[in-house]
Amino acid sequence: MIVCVAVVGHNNNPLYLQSFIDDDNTLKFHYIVHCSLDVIEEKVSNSKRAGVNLNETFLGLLYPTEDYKVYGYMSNTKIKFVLVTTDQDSRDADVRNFFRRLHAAYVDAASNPFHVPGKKITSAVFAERVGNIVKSFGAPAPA
Amino acid sequence: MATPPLPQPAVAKKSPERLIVAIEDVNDLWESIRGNLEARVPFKKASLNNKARNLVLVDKLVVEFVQTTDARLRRGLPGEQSLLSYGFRRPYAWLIVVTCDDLDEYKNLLKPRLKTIVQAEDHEWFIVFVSKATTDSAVKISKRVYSRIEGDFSSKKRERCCKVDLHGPDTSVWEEIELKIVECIRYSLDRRVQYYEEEVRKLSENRFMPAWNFCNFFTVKESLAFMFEMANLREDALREYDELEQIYSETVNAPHANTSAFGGLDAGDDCAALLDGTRKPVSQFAADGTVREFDFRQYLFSRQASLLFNLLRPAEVSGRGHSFIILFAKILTQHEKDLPFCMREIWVITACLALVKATSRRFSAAIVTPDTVKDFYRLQGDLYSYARTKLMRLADLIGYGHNIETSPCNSAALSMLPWPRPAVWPALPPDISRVQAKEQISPPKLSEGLGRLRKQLSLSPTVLLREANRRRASLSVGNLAEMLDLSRLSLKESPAADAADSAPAPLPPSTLPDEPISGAHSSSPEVLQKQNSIEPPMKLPEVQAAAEHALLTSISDETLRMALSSVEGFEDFFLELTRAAADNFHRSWRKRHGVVLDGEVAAVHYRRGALDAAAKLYEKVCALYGSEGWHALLVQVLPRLSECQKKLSDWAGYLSSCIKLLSLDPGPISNEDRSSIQAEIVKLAHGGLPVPVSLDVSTLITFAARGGPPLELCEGDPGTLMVTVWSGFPDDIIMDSLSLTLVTTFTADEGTKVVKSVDAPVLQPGKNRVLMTLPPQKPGSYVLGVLTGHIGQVKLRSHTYCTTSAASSKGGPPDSDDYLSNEKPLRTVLEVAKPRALVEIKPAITKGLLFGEPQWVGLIVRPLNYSLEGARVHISTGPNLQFLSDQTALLEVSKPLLAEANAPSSTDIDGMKTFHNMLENGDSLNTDDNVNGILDYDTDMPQHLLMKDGSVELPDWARMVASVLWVQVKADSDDTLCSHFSGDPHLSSPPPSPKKVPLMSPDSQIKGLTTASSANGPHATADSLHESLQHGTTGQGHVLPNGSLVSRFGMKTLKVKMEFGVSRSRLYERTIALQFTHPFRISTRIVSRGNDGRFLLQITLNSQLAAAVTIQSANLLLQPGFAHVNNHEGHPTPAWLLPLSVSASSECALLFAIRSDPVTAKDGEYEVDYHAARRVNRSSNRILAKYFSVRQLSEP
Repeated sequence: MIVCVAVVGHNNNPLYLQSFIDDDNTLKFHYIVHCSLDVIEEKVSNSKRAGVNLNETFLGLLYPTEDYKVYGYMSNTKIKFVLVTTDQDSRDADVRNFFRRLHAAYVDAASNPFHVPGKKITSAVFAERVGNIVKSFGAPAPA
Repeated sequence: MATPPLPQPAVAKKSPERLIVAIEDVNDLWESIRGNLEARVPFKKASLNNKARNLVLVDKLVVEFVQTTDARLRRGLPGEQSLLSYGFRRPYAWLIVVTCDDLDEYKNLLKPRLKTIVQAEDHEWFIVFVSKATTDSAVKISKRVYSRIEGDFSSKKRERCCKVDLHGPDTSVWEEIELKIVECIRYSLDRRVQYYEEEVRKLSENRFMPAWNFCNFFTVKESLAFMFEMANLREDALREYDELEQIYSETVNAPHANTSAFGGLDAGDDCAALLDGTRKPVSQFAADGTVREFDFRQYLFSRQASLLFNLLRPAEVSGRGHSFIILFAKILTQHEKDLPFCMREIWVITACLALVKATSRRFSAAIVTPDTVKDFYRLQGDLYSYARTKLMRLADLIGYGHNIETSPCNSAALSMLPWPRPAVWPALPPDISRVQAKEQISPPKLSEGLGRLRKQLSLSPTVLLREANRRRASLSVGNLAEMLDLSRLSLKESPAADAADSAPAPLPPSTLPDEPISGAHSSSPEVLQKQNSIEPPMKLPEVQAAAEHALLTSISDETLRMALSSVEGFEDFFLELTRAAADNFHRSWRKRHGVVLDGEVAAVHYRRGALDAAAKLYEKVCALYGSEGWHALLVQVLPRLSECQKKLSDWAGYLSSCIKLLSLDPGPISNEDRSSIQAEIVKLAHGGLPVPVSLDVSTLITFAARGGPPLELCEGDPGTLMVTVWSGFPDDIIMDSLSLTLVTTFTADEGTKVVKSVDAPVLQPGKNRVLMTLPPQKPGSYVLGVLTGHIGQVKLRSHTYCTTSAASSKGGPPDSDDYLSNEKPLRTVLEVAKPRALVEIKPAITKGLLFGEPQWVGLIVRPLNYSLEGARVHISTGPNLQFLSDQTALLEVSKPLLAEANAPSSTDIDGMKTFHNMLENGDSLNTDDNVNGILDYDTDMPQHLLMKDGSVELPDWARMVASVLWVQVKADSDDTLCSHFSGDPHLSSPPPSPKKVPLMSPDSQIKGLTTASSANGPHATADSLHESLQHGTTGQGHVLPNGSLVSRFGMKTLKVKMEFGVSRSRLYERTIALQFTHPFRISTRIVSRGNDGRFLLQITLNSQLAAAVTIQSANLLLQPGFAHVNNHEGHPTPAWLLPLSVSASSECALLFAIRSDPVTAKDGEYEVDYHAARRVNRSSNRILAKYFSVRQLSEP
């Protein structure tokens, strides 16, 4: 189950963060996403060493913890997308697909002339779209 | 020499085994060569084949020389042990040491024996022939024997012999022996590897057969690994273990895997053995036929770790270990029901710490790349924080939860981590005091002050009580009380009360533990399951006490037990882990992890009262969150920081924290809180601060200048500047004063000016307009600098000025952040011009003024793009020039015509036009006064101004237009002898109105001039003449004393001083020269002389005027002795000549018929106007000439 989706700007400022569990404790996701930026930076700055293709936007699993998994994705404009899931066995292809769709949604939201780049995304349409993407995550292979 | 017995295999694994080289000491010579051989161990350059059959240079190959007579070798003889399990331990080379100094002896005795030895077993051997010969003959014999041995045992393919000369000088033979040994080892190794691999292959193929046993496979595989390890081929050994692990995982996870016991129930199993392969006799597995996963996985990892340590790759141990611990924790979760209470948590903690300890001891940053170093520290940090998380879980479980900071970090770690799920929750301890102690734990006081802004976050996934009670044996009964209790508890399922263990208060006091105290307190599930009585649900203190009791009795790790046995112990241990994690993260790339954990350290410091240390660490955390805009997280830390600062009396820091709180996104902080923070700031500012404090409020207050072009000021002029200030304060804030620095651009010298607001402003939330007073400035361009507001002792500084933005146009504060552009364009707000002429005063007429007559002198006052508002002109006259009394001045708009006469230039006209255009466009230059007022002046009529003591104040309409100030003066001739022109002031007419002066091209002006004079001149002069006749006073001309009759010019001066500018601070002074002259130059000539004493006197009037004049009448006053011929009262002859028009600068002449008159010469019948009387005649005749001046009609 996806518990949190976040979009982080190129200055590492949060643009959008939504948790998908019935708990008003979203702060822990703030923390998780914020700290995952460390790992994203680590992956990006060491991409050569790790043999990761620079053109690859999908950064893979950031946190292999016991309880949840954090995946990362970074656009070429340094917008980071972070996904927190409690699924222990997510298929890589599903996660990639999820990020691609999230990225597309973000691009549309950022193209809104009333959106100030670098500011938080307040668009309700975007939130709804993200909700749909989350709902349909892993849909072809329901767990 | 006695060698220690070969250790038992299980124990042998502790230290790596060595390759054994067997010594077949045929002639008891071993001791003589032993020293030399053993000195070469470990072999430096041994080349062996690895698993891929590639030659690898192995350095430090350790071998052990064992004599065949040794018991260890005998035990390992074939048949006695299985070849598979011990074959790899058999000698890898056989060294046969012989000597012989007799050929026959060799032939008969030695050779058969050697043959037996060589053929007895399939092993790699070679013969060392030791020669003890000292004499030449002995040497010869031994040589001969050796050659025989060579012939018998060596082949062309392989040299199997070598000769040692004990007394010879040659030492290279030892090297040769070493090479031979290595060669033997290589051959043996190859053969054995091949053999084992074949076995492994066979076993692998049968992996899916029902009868397949992993233990056999493991034995073979591990033997192979041991062999590689012995041969120093550790990479290959490691690979074997990796494969073994993989196959094991496959076997365990196979769908129909033989589910044998998991293990982990032995005493001490809770303490991780992942680096200690010797705890359990793993090789006994093979004998038992079962593999306990719990032990086996740890054993495998320990083998891998020890190989990696030997390969000097401790960083890899960390990496693998981290993954292993996570994986193993998951496996433990799967088997949690069968394991002792909290086994998983305890195991993880001990495993992490053991791994960290072992790796950091062996890790050396010098031998690896910097990236590896960072990665290593990252892993250490991960391990520490993993252990820390589990420790928190345990502490929370046993009631130390209040000592854990409810930070997002801890919440993230714990709230998704399930509670332990043992098969049965541990029972209550016999000692009831524990329960009471737990009950007495009071929930932490709610933070006061700003601390209330922090959100209480849950540290647990769900209510502990429910988790615990659900797992009690009594639950199976499903009694009503349980149900009731659960429903009651479910009320607390709301997230706020999710940390229900922090609020045990709702439990009624009557429900004290009354259940029978069980005698069995072992934490092992088997025992727990026996307590099958129906019990009421446990209360939280009971749950905690039970857990504590169970843990303290079961934990075998002393450190952990100490940590959990008291709150202080826990805090110490917790602090140690947190600090270590933070330190390690700081050494890696993970700055954020490190700083966040610093915050956790700070929380402990804070709780313990070490506020100074806490504040320092909190500052780091706040800086991290603040810099990247994570306001939601910042709200969790900043109040704590502010509390520390407040308690430490760090007022500057406290106020700055308050300001930061106010400037956060409004979301996390309610308006009431914001208002109270503001009130706090103001209260502190007005009292209670020992020293003034300067605060940066750039995030809260932004400011901008008005849009449009910059304000333009002249050098030295004061002014006002409108500044828009956006206040982010929730309420009105009253400033004592507000000042702003202006920074010059393009000047190197200190270019900062401070300007203050006009009045003490009250900043409302949102947009405010503040007027700034500008004192006189130096020339230059100025941009906005720093806005500073004072409230009591507090100085608020804002560096954020903004250009216009989309948001600000809607009234909201403009974006003050730098997301869009990192470099803000500097917008000039003020331009102060360089010193320049601001006004110009020119005379409208400078020459052709008439002596003695009231003359209008025009002063063209032309502002040069500068307002003359409130200007005052002082005019003082020079010698012999005076104002007429009761003066009024006249002011009219200057026309280009006027300008043209003195300083004709098209630019002036253009300037006027531009200026008029500017006026018409309403383009404000400086002030936004009613510009229309300027246009409303009456262009037709000059305005009368009151002049007092030569001072005239200019009216408002004249402040931007060029105007002409007319003053009336009268000049006396310098010559005392010279009679003045006298004229009745009443005669004077106002200067020509602008209407009469056509504003046309120079040509038409001249035309206009003539027409004007012809049209108006006669009329006007006729009147004046008439008047003058009636009054009998006349203006009088004069004849120059030198008789030349050339009228003199007189230069007079007018001193003009103008005070203008703001508060008339500017002065413009000019002395204007005026050329006064007489209207006519008079010359006389006697045209003809009659015999009767009559003569015709021609008086030539040479006009000095620049305008045409009409002479209305003229009469000549004569001195006694002369008389007019026709007694025509001195009118010229003929009389019809008058009136006579005289053009400008032209000449005319009047003729007078005069005769000598003796009668009149006697008495003074004629009143002589002494003013004008002048003797002019060259012939010493006295002629009095008198004429009227006629006003010139136009300006020159």
